[in-house]
Amino acid sequence: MTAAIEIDGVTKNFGSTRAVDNVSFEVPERSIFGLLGPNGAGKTTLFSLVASFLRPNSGAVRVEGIDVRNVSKLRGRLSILPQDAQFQANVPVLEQVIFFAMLSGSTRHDAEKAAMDALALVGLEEQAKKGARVLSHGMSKRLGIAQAFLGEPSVILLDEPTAGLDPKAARGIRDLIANQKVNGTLVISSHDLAEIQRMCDTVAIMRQGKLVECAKVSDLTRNDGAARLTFAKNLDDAQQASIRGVAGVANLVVDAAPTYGLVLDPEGNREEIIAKVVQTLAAAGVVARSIEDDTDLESRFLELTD
Amino acid sequence: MSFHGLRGPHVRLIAKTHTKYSIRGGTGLVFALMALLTGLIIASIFVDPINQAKQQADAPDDIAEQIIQQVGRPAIKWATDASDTQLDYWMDANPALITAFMLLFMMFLPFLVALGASNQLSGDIGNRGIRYQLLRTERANLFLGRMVGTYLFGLIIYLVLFLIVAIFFLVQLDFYSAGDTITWLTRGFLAVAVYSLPYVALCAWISCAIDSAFGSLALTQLAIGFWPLLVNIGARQWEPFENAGYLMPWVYRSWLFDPSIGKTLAGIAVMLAFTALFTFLGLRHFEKRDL
Repeated sequence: MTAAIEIDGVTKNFGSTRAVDNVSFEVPERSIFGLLGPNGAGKTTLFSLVASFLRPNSGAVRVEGIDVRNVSKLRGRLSILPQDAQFQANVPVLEQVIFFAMLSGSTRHDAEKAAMDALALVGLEEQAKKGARVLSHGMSKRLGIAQAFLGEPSVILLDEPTAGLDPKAARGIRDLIANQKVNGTLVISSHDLAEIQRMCDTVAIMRQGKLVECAKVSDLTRNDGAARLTFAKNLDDAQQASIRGVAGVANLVVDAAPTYGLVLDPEGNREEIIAKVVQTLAAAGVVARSIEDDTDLESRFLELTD
Repeated sequence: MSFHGLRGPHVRLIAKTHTKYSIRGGTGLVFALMALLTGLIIASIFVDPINQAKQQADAPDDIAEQIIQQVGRPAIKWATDASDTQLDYWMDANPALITAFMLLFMMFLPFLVALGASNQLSGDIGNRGIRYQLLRTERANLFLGRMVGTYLFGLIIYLVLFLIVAIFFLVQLDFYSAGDTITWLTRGFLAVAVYSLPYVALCAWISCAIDSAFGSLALTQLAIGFWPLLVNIGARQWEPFENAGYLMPWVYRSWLFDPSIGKTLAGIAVMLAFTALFTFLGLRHFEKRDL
């Protein structure tokens, strides 16, 4: 599989702060790729490097094989929803989108049509002739998405498209993105891990400017013999020891008591081992409130970024 | 620095859009109002006293000419350090009051230019709005397009001002013929057009280096005002320091009104050279910087 984006040993410093530290990975072509990390991990900086807004101190970024230092060669093929970028407050929304379309190579006539279609897609037809200053935060995000999908680019970067939105507005944006006919590659950064797990094929996880994981979502969330047990109150040492003594239990780790991580022997039968654990606890007078498969992206994310 | 992405249609489109929406932005509106207000105040400073003297005199035109020669001529000599040849050309061969208006307006012009041109890029860099355009065109097109748009917007405002001033002189003063007034004001407008060019380029350079519209305005005003002030103070202590003034366009402004065609053309060449230098430095910085 060829790469839509190649990030090769990229480092970016802001003064004495190293925001991105020797990061390398590839975004597969025609994939939906998630970029994850806690605040300050370097996600937005990395997006800005890919879009050539920022110049790396070392390393190289290539989009569809073209070094982003020659970003004009990617005109019409690469687009971005930048985080926190503002539209011109006093210029009508429609005129701004027409301007973007014309810069991307459309004639005035085609640009007008493309702009109206894009605004209709995100439900902003009624605001078309108003200045961007009248738009709410959610509307601005929708306008940002409209301009990002304008002209059907083959690589689209969406930097936290749902940040700062209420749940309903965030849902609307998610549906909007999901309904787009993406024929190319979509890279999304988000704090909503469930959203990323649902939408993305592959994710990269960053922490303090470094890449800590880059893998398929299915690999990261594969159940490799772990479960999470939650009790009404903390287990004492004897109760913990009795669980560890069950055949097939490799370990019991304190996750965030009264929640415990149960590590199972991969050779054993998962269902049987958990049934034995439940029986052992019942004999000791303890009942688990919940038993969950430890298979969500959030667990993996916390494990990698803590 | 690379210019291979430079596209004429993009520069034109960006310039047109920037000119079209300049007046909607706060700084564009302030610039337009301040330029018109400054020009009209300067015009009235020269017209009103002459008008009053004319009303009280038996021979209005004689008294006006007397004031111009006895007060105006020494004042202009003091302000511009002009030669007698220049003074004759400005005060006798052409409408003296219009000369006075244009020379004084030229002194304020760099500061007015800074009002309109200091936010060519800085505001959009600060609020990151520039990022919506960066993937759609080369940085050079953005820099030059906005610079050209800012310059054209300024020209429109100066044109309106000079038209109003022409009407003002013809109707209020009724002292010079329409032909002389329009011809000399046209020369003045062309001088303003040329003289504002290096300052628009200087503002473009500073504006692309600063992330705040207000910071850019403060720095441009300081850069424009500081050098002539420094030269003036320095020359009082050590006379040869006066030559340091030739490092900025300020000193050459009266060349644009010179009776000698050669010196006028040299003045234009100097302004274009400063424009090229500031544009080159600005473009180089804008190409390399983080946005």
